[in-house]
Amino acid sequence: METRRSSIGLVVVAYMTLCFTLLPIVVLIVAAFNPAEYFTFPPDDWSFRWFAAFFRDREYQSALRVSIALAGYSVVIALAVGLPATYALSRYKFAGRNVVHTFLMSSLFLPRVIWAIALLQFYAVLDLLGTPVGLVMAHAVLVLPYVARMTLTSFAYVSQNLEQAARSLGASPVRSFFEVTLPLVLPGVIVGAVFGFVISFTDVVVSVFISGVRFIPLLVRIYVEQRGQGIDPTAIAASAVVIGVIVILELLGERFIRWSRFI
Amino acid sequence: MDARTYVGDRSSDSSIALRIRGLSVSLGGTQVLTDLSLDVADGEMLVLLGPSGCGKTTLLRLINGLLTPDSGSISLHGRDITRVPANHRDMGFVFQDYALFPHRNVYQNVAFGLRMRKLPKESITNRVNEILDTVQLSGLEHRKVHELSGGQQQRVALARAIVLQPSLLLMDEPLSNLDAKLRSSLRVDIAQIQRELDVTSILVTHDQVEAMTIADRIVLMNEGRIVQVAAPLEMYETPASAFVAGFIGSPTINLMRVQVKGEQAHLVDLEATTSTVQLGRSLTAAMTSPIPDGTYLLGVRPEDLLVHGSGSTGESVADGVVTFTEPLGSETLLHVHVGGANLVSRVPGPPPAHVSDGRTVAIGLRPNCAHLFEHDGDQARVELEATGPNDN
Repeated sequence: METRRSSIGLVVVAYMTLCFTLLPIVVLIVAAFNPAEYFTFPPDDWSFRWFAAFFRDREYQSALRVSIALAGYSVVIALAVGLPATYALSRYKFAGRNVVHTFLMSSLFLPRVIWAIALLQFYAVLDLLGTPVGLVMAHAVLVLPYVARMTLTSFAYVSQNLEQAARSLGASPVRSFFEVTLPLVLPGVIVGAVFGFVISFTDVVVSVFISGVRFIPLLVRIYVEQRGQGIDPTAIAASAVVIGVIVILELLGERFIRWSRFI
Repeated sequence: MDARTYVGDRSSDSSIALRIRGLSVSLGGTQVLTDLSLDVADGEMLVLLGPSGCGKTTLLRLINGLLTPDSGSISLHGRDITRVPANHRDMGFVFQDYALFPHRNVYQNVAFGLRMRKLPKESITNRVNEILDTVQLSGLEHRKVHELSGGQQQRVALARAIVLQPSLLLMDEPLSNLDAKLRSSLRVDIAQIQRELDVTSILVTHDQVEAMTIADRIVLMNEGRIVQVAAPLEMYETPASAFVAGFIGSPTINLMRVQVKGEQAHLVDLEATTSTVQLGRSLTAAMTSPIPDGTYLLGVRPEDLLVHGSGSTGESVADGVVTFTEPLGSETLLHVHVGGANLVSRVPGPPPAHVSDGRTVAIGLRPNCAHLFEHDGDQARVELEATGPNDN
């Protein structure tokens, strides 16, 4: 097959971009297996020493649990709010429809630092700083646009006639939603939920302002650790674990629901 | 018992399945239906026909409960269902795009309604198999719906609706997504299944051929109102207005503006710009009784417009020039320019020997076949008083 010169150029640029994005991550993962106390590249030896240290460290482990719980709760809340809201947006014309739409997507466009500063003051008034409730609420707002975006496009692909057909066959509106609509939008809902989970899990900017001292998410912990003591090999192993889990999730998602079609 | 008392009896007894009274609805600020009333007899195949945007699909959705009217009432077998939600109406609905559930197979689609009624599993299986047999889809139970052809999908949709043995079967343009050949065969199937199950049915279409072949009665609608309700042939033979005459029949009826004064009639071209052609005596002779003076729309079906060679002895009303000939095998369509009007004549068989493009011909009207409509307003049919057998 003949490839034109201009497209060869494009392919080269694409691969260079890929390398530029991935190389630092490769370096990080390789470094995580380095048993030395300080950073050398390439490493002289291989070991799981720092991974073991990460899984033994009580502070990192509690941070990991905080991150998982935080991401889980905020995704559930975002789904509970986002599913009905986007369903209404896709099915009904009502006054203020555009306002609701903009509101759902707003945190996508807001600079996070500015939003976090505002939140810091707001939470101080409400006495929510450093509380799990405050964290979950903030993350639910962060996650909402990602969930809503996916469910909105999914609902748009389900013809209203299908729901009306279910109605005419004797299904109540609620029944027709669960029998017909939900199974058809489920892939989109799952993709949105996973996206939301990752967004919450990887957030530092907002969490670092409002998390206080008792409930600190993993990435905030890693970040703070780096700022304080410089490069800590346990933090590098922790980062490698995070990357590994995300890559595995991505591959599973692609294998089972081909989610690249949603993006 | 004469016809009039029979109609009166029908409207009060139990043979009326569906009764609609004074139905009005507006959607998004537009008045879609205005004060519409209609009775549907038990076991009848009623066809709602009209141009797109006339409100026929809206009417169907109101009957099914997918929409709620602003005013008026709908009752099914004497029970007022105007505000009853769609899932409690005991009606089957067949959608234009089939609306089959893509995540379920043929069997699951057909069984859906029975499952909603919480029937025991065994009787669901029996009834689904029975109905799949009726629509000739046995053996395809476990197919995914997207693996089926358009015609098969529409059969599944039909089976899914009729398996519930609904009091009323509603079909919204069920054939318009199919190609012409399939459409005509499935049309016959639908008519036969409907008759076999004796289910009262309302079918919406914009295709007048479909309506003519399938309907017991046609309800012709325009701009949110019913224009005429009649059996297909009755509608063809005595259209209630120029709109009905123009909508039913293919090729379209010839409509001309005529001025009648005494025994004289003039053809006025439809834009009323220039030429007028005096029509011979045979126009007035073609009618069963004298026409009062005035301006009218004259409607002549293509098969009632006769074309003679010029100078022939037949009764002619005017001369015209043949502009185009369409030989269709079993019949020929002749386009004739008369005064300012382009008329179409349909003659059986190949083009007649005396006719070719550019030739001047004399046109005549088949006796008693011309339709006369008012020129203004609703363009309603002008019924001429019968004066007994014409003896001139």
